[in-house]
Amino acid sequence: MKRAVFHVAEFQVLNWKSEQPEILRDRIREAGIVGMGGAGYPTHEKIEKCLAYDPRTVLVNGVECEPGVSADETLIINYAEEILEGCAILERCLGTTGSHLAVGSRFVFNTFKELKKANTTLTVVEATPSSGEERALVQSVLGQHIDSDEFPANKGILVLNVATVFAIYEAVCKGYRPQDRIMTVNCIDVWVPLEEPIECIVGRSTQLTAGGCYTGRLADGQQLTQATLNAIESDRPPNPSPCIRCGWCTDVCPLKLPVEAIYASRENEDQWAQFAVDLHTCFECGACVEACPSQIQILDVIRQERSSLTHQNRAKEHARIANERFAERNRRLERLANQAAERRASREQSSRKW
Amino acid sequence: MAVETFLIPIGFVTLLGFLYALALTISQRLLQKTSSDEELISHIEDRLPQLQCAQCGFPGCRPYAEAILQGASTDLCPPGGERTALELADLMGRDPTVPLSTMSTTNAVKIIESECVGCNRCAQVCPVDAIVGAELFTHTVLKKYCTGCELCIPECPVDCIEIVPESATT
Repeated sequence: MKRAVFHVAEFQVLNWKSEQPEILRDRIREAGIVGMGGAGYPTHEKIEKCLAYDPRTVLVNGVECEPGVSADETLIINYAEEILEGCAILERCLGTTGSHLAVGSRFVFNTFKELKKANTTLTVVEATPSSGEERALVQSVLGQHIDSDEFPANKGILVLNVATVFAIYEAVCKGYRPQDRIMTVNCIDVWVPLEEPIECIVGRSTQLTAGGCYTGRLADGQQLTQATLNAIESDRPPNPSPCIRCGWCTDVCPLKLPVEAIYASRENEDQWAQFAVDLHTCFECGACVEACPSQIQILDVIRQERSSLTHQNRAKEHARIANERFAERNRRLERLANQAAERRASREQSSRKW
Repeated sequence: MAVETFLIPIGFVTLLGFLYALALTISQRLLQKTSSDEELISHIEDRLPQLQCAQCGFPGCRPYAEAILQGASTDLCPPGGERTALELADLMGRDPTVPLSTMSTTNAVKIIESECVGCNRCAQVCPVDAIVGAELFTHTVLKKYCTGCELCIPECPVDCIEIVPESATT
């Protein structure tokens, strides 16, 4: 996936296998990592709370239970190895071995199964609207009850979202400060820079929702994107902006069609010809429309051009058949005329003979 | 060293050059004339709508294409309209002119069979043999092949042929 921000290593890259756990914890604090699941609790504080308790456990939360939000799932599918390494870093921070990974779907489970290490327990949790909640997750994965006035961290259970684990991995192994995160922007998962006005990401619109359909609330266009925000939903403005050729439509196309090139050459007939096959391959999923930051109705253009292309082809075929039949008729008329002339000639000959 | 040592090869190569030039010129004259004419006619034909309606004054699209090559005007095709006229003018390098009248290229015709008297006149004028029927029997139009040239309409003595816009039939 294309990252939204060009990252520069702000910190020294650590080899976590040999570093002391204190240094790793300091790194998490320095990088300013907060829980990216929604609450935004500082992660280093959570780790310190856990350290007071023994035995300690790491529980990584990959259960996404809001319909229409798939940011975590996309992160897991694209960065599974990094997340597993992040788990190992956390294990070292806490001084334990073994971590639990809870995922919400069988599909994601299979992604991990290939890479799974011996000491990571993988659990599939049925994704109901509440199953991703911290206490509910601890209950279903570890079978441990946490009272509602307590936090899992106080019991030595470090519950972290997969996005947080990924941020920890990047802070330790790459030296990055978290500057972007995967968000579901109008149903498409993309890397979104943090601390940017929402308007800059989805364009100006009359109604914006920050968050999924359960937890989301109406947002102002000037509101900044946060590390805890996992989805943005906007309605489309009536007037699309001009194409800025960002290429997002091409990136999100599940069939890898050159959508951007198709759109850019929509008025150039010579260039259209080369996209004829692409146009007919498109199954109109609408991913390009959702991804378009200029809110261009690309699908409408594709549909329209496809129908005009079909029409043109049909007309061409019709013309070809008409041409053939016209030539055939001319040949027939010529043949008939020749035969008539021959008959006349032979008649004249025979009449002369008599 | 004798002068012949230089003169003989130089003369030989010059002669060879002349021979090749001659051969190339002749072959170009022979081949280009026919092939380029054929090619140009087929290019012109590609741009014509192939209705075979003969409204240009020539019996069909190919005869018109041949006539254009001989110097006929490029704006004689009403079904092609402005677009075809401009394309042809562009292709032939002439001044762009547009036809005075235009007609739809997507129509077809239909015979009202209850009124057909079986005179067979329409079938005789149809340029693409899209009308079938024997004399004194009901005729009908093969919609698949009908180009909508409307040549049959004035021929019908009982006015039983009507125009069907293709959008309504497909």
